[in-house]
Amino acid sequence: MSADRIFGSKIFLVILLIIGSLAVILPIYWLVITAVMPPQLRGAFPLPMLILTLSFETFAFVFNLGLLNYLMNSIIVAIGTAVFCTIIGSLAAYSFAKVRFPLKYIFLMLPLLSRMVPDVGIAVPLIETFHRLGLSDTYLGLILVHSLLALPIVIWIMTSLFEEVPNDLLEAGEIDGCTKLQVFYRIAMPLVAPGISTSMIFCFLISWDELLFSMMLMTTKLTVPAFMSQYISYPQYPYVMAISIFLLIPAFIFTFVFQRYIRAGIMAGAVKG
Amino acid sequence: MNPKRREAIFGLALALPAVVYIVAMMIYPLGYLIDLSFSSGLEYYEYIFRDAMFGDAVVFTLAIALGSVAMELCFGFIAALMLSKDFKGRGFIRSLYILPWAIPTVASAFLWRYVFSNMGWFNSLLAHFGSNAMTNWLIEQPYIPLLIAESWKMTPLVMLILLAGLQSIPRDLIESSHVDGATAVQSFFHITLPLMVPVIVSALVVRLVDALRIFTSAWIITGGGGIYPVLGTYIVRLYRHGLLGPSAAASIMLVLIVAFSVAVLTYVNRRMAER
Repeated sequence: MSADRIFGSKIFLVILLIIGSLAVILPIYWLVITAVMPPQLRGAFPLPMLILTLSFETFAFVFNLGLLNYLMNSIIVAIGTAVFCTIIGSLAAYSFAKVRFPLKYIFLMLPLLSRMVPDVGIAVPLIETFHRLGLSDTYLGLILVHSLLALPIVIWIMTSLFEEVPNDLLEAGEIDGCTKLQVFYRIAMPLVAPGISTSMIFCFLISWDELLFSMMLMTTKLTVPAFMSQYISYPQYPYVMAISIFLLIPAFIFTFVFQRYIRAGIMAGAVKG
Repeated sequence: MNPKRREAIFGLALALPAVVYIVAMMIYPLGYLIDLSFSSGLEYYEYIFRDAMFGDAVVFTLAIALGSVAMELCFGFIAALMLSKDFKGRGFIRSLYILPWAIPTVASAFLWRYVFSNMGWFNSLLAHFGSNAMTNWLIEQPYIPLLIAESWKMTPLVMLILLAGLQSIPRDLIESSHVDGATAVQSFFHITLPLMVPVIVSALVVRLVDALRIFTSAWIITGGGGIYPVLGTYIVRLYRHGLLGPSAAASIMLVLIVAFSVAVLTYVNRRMAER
């Protein structure tokens, strides 16, 4: 059999697909069974690859540590980031896509620039400034920082969507007596409604995932990642994995329910980034 | 007021909140950072260049970034090629392959730290297959857990970018090459791969810029930097030890490394586009 017959054959494809699936599933499986493993098995070596009895003691334990509080903090900050970014991001995106004005081409560079500057590179001056402004350990402070990471993507997604809105529609609105602002929020915004939810999900997931600023800025109102990072010295893995499960549930749900939109958003980021 | 002027004011007013926000949160901190790093002349730069750990951190960061991006491109390309074929259950497999990317970084980092810990899953797996060697990966070979954690999580993203590229190649082009007698391997190297170069380069740029700023997975897996810091964890550790000036100088170096990589990649991309 020639080389490309093998390469193109079904068996080869199936074997590769199985290897790929195992590489994805096995680590996630380990994560889950570590959280539900009965306590007497935890110190065993080698660790069992199959467990027959489940224990949910870890979940009770992490809730006693105040996980609910940290989840609430994460949700508040993530929603705040989504709302803030979507508002200022779609205003800017509309002006980039549909309005002629001076300095536009300089302004267009800004999201690209902020995507290129590494977050950990400007963490030190930002955190110093936030301490001085009294914004450390506040939801507002963390929302403002997380928005920095999410805003470029919102601007790119929304700009490409506004560009698709036909100009005739907007002009017709103006002829009918709408002001430019009314055209924006009465005609253009409803047309890009699906894009608004995409960009909000992106913001939510970025904020939900963020560790650096969450652990540097917050001392009492910890988000879930910041709370977990307290375990880096001596991690008690079963409990850490139990918290992980709560962290990944919303991420999985959003990623799957909105898969199509998220793929479109990735492309917007990949092309511009 | 004439309409043109009105439109200009309208546009500026819409863009203003985002512009002011980015300037305040990005341009101002950059200026402040430069100011901080030079606030005692060159002393803080001398400090980090005399610190052996800084040099190690630069090398380790570059090694992780290049290594993980290379693995992501390699496995991402294979996965994208598979998913560009038609087969039953393709949608399901694609969703499955996106899973690692959907896992929050902190969770996946702790997971891989546990997998590679002394009595962890990886050594257990080896033991089930009869190996007795108990390597302490995290301490002896921290590069490997970090490399695998990073590329495991980010390969799906590269896969999605490459898959979109593959799907934009017209099918007739490949089919007509088959009619002309090209083998699958030939049409891959002569048609698919050349057409994919721009997509590969854009995936490379996106990933490399992110990989150089690696922080979260390194912080978790090396337990706060340990003796093998990357630049991100090195900066945070200096800052936490109250060494504000040196941490600012190290931040400047990171910003410069990223800017330099972007410049090089943009230049290479232009040169290739000209050809």
